[in-house]
Amino acid sequence: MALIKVNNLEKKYCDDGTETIAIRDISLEINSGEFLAITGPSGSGKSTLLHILGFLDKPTAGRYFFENRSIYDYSEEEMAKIRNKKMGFVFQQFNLLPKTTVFENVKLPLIYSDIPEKEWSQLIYNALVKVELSHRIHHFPNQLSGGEQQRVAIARALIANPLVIFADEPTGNLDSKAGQQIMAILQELNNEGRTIVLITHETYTSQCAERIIKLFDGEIQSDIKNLERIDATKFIK
Amino acid sequence: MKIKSLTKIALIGLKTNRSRSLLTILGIVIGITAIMMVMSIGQGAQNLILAQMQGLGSKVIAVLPGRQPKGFTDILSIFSDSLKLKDVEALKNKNNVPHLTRIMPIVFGNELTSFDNQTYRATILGVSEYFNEIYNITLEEGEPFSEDDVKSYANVAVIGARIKEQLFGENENALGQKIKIKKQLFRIVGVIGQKGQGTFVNFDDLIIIPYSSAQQNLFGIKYYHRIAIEVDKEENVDVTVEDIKQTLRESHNITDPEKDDFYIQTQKEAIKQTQTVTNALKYFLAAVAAISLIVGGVGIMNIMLVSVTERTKEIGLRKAVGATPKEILLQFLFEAIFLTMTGGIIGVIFGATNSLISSLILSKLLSVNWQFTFPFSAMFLGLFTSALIGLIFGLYPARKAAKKSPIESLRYE
Repeated sequence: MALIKVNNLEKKYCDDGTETIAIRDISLEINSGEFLAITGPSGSGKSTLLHILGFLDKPTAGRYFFENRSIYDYSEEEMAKIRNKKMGFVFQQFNLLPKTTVFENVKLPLIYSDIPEKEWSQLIYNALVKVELSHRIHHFPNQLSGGEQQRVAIARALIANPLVIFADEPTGNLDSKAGQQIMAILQELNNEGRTIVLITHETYTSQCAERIIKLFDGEIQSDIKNLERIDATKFIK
Repeated sequence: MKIKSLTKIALIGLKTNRSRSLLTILGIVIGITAIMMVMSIGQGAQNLILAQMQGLGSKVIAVLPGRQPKGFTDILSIFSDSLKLKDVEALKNKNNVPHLTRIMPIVFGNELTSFDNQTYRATILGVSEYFNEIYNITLEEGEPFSEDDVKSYANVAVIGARIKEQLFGENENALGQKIKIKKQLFRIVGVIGQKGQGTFVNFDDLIIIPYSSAQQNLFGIKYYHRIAIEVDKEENVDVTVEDIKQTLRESHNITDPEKDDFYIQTQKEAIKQTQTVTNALKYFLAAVAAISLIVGGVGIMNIMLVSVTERTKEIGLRKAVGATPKEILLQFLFEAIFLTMTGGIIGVIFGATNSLISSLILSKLLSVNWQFTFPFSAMFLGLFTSALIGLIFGLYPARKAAKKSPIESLRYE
């Protein structure tokens, strides 16, 4: 069943009268449980596409169905609630709050959720165990390595048990070993049935996905099943 | 999202910028402190004035000539000569005013006084021999003049402490000396001690002489400026006021009360009037102090705008993980209200302590019984206003934060 379905998606930016088309005529379906990598050179529109898929931005034309419901039917409040309950985000810059602990950072989505407060501590601990950072729970982000920070961000993304995790160049700021570790965690999450949508311009990272979509100048150039999938979990353990 | 989490987020936000938060609320602290002090010290002053008015004795009624002044321009009421000897005689009649125990005509004016080479412009008060009992003052030296002095238009005087100092200097004996008032010699029979502060009048600065000699020898008038009437019991004041009105209307041939050429003041009424004036003054001063609150509020708004810009990325992240615009708005609004409320609480504490210290100092300095009153109304007003200022001046920055697009905020460097 398609979790995400888009038809003829287009996003235009208007700056001082000049019009730039970031993406055009994108149609694709992402099934529940898929691991999809979107690649392409910079400026190909992959970030724009991810932001639209992640309810952070709106298309200027075309249709987008999330769980069979058009995004035009959602109010801004509802979109925020969907982001909170069903989506998780991992960014290239980690985007942790610098002056709060790992615990507080992972907690962030829970503040805006309906999950009762007495369950929070256990959930945070479980999420940190999953990214192997339970021993860093009271550290501050600046006391952690880049890889560790990104793992905190992943713990934060999965704390509310989302259907899909959107990762925007998650390994872009990391060395290859830390990057591998991140990919291994994402693959594990995928093995548990979670949908992963990832953008990257690194070949290694994209080779970890089951399916690879290449964008060029805002259009889909190719959409292939990855037959030579790398199992990142093997290298770590 | 619950109030508890909102409070927590706001606290963390403020803690990360501790010194800035403290500086920001300084304006609010000063504003609330000022309001608290104005209200507290104002209340103290009011209590003091009212306490002194009680000193006049609640059994004394004052009759004044003319109409009750309706405004500043109502000059006519001041220059009236409607109270004359025949009125005093009529009022003295037990059939007219049964509860009257004593009646005292009053005349006053300013005259140049001198002794040797010393001259001083003093207020002359012409009264009856029992003035000290009616005004509740004690003489340091000598005695009040006698009934005979009043009857015989005698040139005798009781002087205030300051007059003595001005004309005779520190050590010289004034008793029995003769001072010149408007080219007439007056023999000093008594001196009032220091701090003879009474109702409306500072007895330190007065020369008190028989009303008869003041009328005839000094001012050359046939009327009185006031008539003071003492009543036997306090509960008879209201009845007596009516009796006095009746008597004077008869004596003046007035049938229409609208055309009264006199009016009556009782202590109760005077207190009420004074209270109105002092209250107005108190609230006016508090309003002036409140201006600093507006300045403080603008400071809050300014710093909140900086904070919103600085934390653009945080706002973007919060939105990405599911914060609704309303929740972002509430977060920043809470921060602003928290700031101003903290300022308000500190201001209340400062204001109360300062007022307490001030009241102690004023008590010592003026050697009066200055009472400290904790201004509860000002406290609630202060706390409420500070919260309101947080709400008003925090709203714009908070709305700005709530409206930010998540993706642009995340990209903000």
